[in-house]
Amino acid sequence: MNKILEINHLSKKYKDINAVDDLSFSVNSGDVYGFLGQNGAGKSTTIRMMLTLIEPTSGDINIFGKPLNKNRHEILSKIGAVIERPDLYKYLTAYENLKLFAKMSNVNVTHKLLMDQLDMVGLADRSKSKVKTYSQGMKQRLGIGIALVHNPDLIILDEPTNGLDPQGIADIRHLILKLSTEMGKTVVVSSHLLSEIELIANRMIVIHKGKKIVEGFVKDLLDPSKTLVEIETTDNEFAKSVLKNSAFATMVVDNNDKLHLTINKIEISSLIKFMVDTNVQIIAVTPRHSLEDYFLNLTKTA
Amino acid sequence: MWNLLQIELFKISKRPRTYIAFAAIAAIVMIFQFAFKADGESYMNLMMQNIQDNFELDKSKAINGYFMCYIILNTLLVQVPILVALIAGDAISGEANMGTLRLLLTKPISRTHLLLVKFFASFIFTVVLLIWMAMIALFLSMAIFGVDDMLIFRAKGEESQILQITKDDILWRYFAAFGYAAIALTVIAALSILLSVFAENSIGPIVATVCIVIFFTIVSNLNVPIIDKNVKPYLFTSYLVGWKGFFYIGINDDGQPIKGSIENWGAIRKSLTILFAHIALFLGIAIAVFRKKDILS
Repeated sequence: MNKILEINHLSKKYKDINAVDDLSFSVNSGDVYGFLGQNGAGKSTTIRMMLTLIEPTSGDINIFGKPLNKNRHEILSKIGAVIERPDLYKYLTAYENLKLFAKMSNVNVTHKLLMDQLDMVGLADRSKSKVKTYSQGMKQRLGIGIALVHNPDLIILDEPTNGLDPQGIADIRHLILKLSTEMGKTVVVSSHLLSEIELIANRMIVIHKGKKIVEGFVKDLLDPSKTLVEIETTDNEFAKSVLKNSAFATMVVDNNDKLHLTINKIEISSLIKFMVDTNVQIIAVTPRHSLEDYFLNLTKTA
Repeated sequence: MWNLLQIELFKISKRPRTYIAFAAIAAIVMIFQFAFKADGESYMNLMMQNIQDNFELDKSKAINGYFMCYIILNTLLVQVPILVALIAGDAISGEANMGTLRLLLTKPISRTHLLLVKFFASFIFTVVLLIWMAMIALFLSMAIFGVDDMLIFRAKGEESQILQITKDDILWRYFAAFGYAAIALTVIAALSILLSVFAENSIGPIVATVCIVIFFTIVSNLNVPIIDKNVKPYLFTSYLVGWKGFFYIGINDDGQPIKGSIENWGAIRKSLTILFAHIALFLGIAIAVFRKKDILS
């Protein structure tokens, strides 16, 4: 696989705080690469270093096989990015905003190109409205339109679903999948929500306090054979005693007022049937990925 | 860079606050014109109370378009820096405040180019503002009050002096004075842009620029020998009113004004050199800081 983005031993230090600490990872051509971490984990700082907004304290960033610090102009001309909120010129229309940023990206701007772009992000009918009249979701879509107007090879989206309603989140998700599957773009997308990354990414990295925790293929990291199931019943002691005499015995862990089991996802229905047959009064059975649990454990200790 | 400059000018032209400066200038100038049309002689009496015993003057002729423009410039060129700061102080900090700075800097443009474009756009705004001022303070005054020879009241040391410039020797002096004012106001623009680099909201740099200009102007007007010698020569505010030098006409040995002459070209050249040095200094620091700045907005 052709590596489009390579980060080696990247660090950013603010006085005594290591915002990013010796971080290394790579993104292959065609990946939808998930960048996962809690708020404040260092995702945005890393992304800003990838876009030359922040200067690294140490480490290297290579994009398209070239060092970023020596080829900034060339590299940035092939990247499209939305960083956190897509703040735009509110006193200009969507069309004017898009035209202005397209010109900055050295695009041969035509009316057709701009309208096609607005159409792609579903804003063609509001092209003449000032951005100050837009909803957050519309601004986000316009931001993505601006990021894509120069047909970049690498697209970097920092928390693109922040502040969006469920429909807005679904729209952005479909757009990212379209960019990857239909247009063959490489996408780096950050989020603090594992469920978001799980739905769109093929590879991912989890960072915490600026350090890499885990990196790999999503299907491997979110292994269904290691699904954590959280069980809540009317009588957990009874449920525990029943389960200890079952095939699930070795996996039962008592965690405060809930029971936890790690089993294969396909065994969840058997587990529920067994508990119903043995008169365990179930309140809730919630499957969670082992990585999510791991991630939440990190949150608790942070 | 031309492409970027066009974009920047387009953005300035689309912002409502841009037009506040033009409206403010028009309002102030027209108030002056109205006041002098209604009762200009009272002003002339006040100006000439120390010398009217030995100087005969037709006051109705003295208040003409050229004289009006001089009076207006004397007053307005102290206020215009605030209007320039409104635009230049917003250059970088306004983008940071809106959140557009991070988007701008992910585009393939260098930070140095972006800052220079912001500076040139502020310079163009300043020039357009001065052209507007010239149109209403000079040409409108000429239309309302007519043209004639111009009298300049000048305080020279402890003495008052009246200089007379013939009407065919004035217009070029105004063009030169407006040119000088453009350079002087560009120093304010460069200072505002420098302060703008450090801030993430527009108000801070605008207020800071105005405070610096007011403070330095007060120091520039202090008549304390040690400050005269050691401080004033280094303050840009000491040179902001240097445009008046174009109206200080040269006098021959008989005490008669020499048409087309200027009393002290050397002082004007020195003032311009110091103003250019300040522009270079402020811009140089702004570029050095901005190139290394982490964009966290």
